[in-house]
Formats: sequence, C-alpha cells, structure tokens
Amino acid sequence: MTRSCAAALAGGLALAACTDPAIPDRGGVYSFADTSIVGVDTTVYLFHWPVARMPVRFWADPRGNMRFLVERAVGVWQDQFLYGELRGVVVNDSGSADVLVRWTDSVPPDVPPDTTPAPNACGGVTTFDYDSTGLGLAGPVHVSMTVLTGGPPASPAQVQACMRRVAIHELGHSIGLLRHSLFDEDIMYGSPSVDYPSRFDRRSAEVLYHSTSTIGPPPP
Amino acid sequence: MKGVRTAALVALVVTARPPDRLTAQVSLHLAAGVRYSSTLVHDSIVTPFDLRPALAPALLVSVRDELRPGWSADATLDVTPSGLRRHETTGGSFDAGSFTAFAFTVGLRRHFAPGASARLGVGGLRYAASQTGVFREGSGGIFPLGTVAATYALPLPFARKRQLEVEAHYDVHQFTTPALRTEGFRESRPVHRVALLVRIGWGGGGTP
Repeated sequence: MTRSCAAALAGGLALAACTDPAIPDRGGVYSFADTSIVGVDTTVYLFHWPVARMPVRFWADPRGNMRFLVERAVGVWQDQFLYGELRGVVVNDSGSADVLVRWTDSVPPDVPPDTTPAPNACGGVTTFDYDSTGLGLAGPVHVSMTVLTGGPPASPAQVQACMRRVAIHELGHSIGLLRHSLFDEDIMYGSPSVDYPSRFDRRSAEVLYHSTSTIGPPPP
Repeated sequence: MKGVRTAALVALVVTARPPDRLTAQVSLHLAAGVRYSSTLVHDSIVTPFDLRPALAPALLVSVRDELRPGWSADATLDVTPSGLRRHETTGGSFDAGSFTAFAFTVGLRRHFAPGASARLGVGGLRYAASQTGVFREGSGGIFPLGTVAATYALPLPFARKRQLEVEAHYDVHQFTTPALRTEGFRESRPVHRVALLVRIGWGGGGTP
C-alpha cells in the first residue's frame, strides 16, 4: 500500500515536471516610437525610463486634485506591467522630479466624475526637451492639463471624468508611449474616450520597456 | 503590512516553546535553512527572460507522531519569504517584487537506517503578495504540492539530545496566477523547490 502510494506520488511529481506553458502571442502592439525624416535619414526616437531611474519621480501641481490624478495614473500604468518594469512615485519637490504635471491655467473643481461623454471637455500636452545632441533629454518631462472651453459646455463632473482619462493618456506619453494609437479603444488614442488602458496599450507598454532606448534620460 | 505579518510569524516560530509534556510518541520540530526555487514564469517580450524567486530563507514547523517502530507521520507548516527577480537571457537581473510562500503538508516518514530517514508528503501551497505584477489580480489560490525529503540525524551526543538533523527537502507544484491567465498563459508551470535545512526537535522517542 505504502509502495503504491509512493509510486503514485513519484508519478505525479514526474508528470508535474514535464509540462512547460506556451508563451502568449502579444499581437496588436501599436507604434510607440517617434521618427523624423531628414533627407534620406530616418531617426527613431524610442524612449523609456531605464531601470537605474526607477522609481520614476512625478511631481503634481499642488492645486486642486492634481496629486490624486497623478497618483491614480501612475498606479494604472504600473499595474499594466507583470514583471516590475515600471515603478513610479509622486514626490513633493519639483526640483528632484523626472516628470512635472501642471494645470495650464484654471483649476477644475474636485467633484465626483460623470462619465457621460463630453467631447473636448479637457486636454493635455506632454513635452520632451531634447539636449543638443538630440539623443538625450535635457530636463524633466513637462505635462500640462487644460480645461477646454471652446466646445459644447461640459459640467464640472464631466470635466473631472475627462481629466482622469487625459491624466492616464499624458502620463502614458511621459513613460515613453510617444505616439498616438489609431484605435479609439485605446487610452493612447488621440482623443481618448476609454477610462483605462486596453490590452493593446498594455502590450505596447510592455514591448516598449523591453526595447532598447535610443534616447537617454535627463541628468539625475 | 506583509513584512509585519512575516516578522510576526518569524517571531512566533523563534519564540515558540514546546509544551512541557508531549505525549511519548509526539515530537515538535523546528527547521531553518535556505531554499532555491526554479522559474515561476518563462516569458519573451522582445527577448526571453525568466521570473524566478531569489535564494531565500525557509522556516518549517512540524508535529511528528510515531506510528510504529520505524514509521512516523507529521504535519508541517513551511514558510518562505522571498524576493522576485527578472533574469534576462541577455544578461541582467532586476527586482520584480516579493512574496511569502506558505505550504502545509502531511507526510509519512520511514526510518530506513540508523539516523537516516525519508519522507513523502502532500499538501497545498499559497503565495501571499501585494497585488502588483504577476500577483496584481490575486495569488492564484492554493496549489497542490508534493514533497520528498531525506533526513540524517548527526551521530553526536549533543545532536542526539537535541534531535538535531540535517535535511534535503524537495517539493513541486504548478504555478499560475489570474494575471498570467489574463496575459494569455493558458497552462500553469511546474515549480521545483529545493531546501537544505537544519532541524531540531523536542519530545518523542528521539531519532532511532
């Protein structure tokens, strides 16, 4: 009886040792690198924060609920990665930050979001300052977030919902997703309408962080 | 919070004291050592890499009961706090979080030579980790675990008195998590763990 139990257990162990799962296909990655064409030369701008610069330090404008928006967006992007490729932290000192996130002008009221679509309720811009070689960043990445007033009127709650989407979108640029997706199911679509990154956003970020940067980070 | 729980558990194990009177056939054993674990995840994003626990301490608490001469049964709690590393095949090893693995097994031990014994056991293993990385959607529940061990009691007077033993411990379980399934991994992966332990005991009839 004991021998048969031992044989069964040994057989189970041997069986368990035999299988190795297949690596999943990660199709659907969109173009995340920037290019510039001068004459016949094409330069590829591929940037991500290197391991040595983790955690990436984000500074949030102290007005309104910007800190909440940034912390939330940092958490959302961190959660896209399975293997600890990206870590971020919100810091109080703008002088030591890698990414600075500011309101462009007015500060929207901090109210619960209303996800009813409101086109052009808010916007954002992310700016990279390249050094003289063009192969490195000269300083921190700048992100500006704006309440837009030119379109159909949006309620403060709709503006807040828009800010949450746009914060994730702009911080996506700041971690290296330099281009826009062509598909509106992705948070990196030019005018994002979804609330969270899609699986294609996630795959694109994963591939980015396993690719070799052509652009160096700013001096620490 | 996880660190506090781990520290509390370690403190409990270290300060644990056996009851003054154990039944003649029942003994309590504490073991400590170092554990190697094989790859949890093999993946390839641009280039291949492995996610593997770092070399880690292992702590075991067992209650053993002599069934008849030469045979004993036991129940064992096995705790391993460990860091996770991502090992790129192109070189480089990077921090990828941490976890604590808790395993509970019941086993049958056969004393087959003076001072030497072997154990077969089965049980379950659970990973406790913060909800990040491969554990971001949970730890995957309790994984069935099979284990074998070879133990040798040192033939020294002091070692006999303290029931001091050295043990080579092997176990295997299948690993996956909800986040890995979301990512597209359809099957689980066998994870092999090997530990070298020093064991000390109280009560019972001692090691034959």
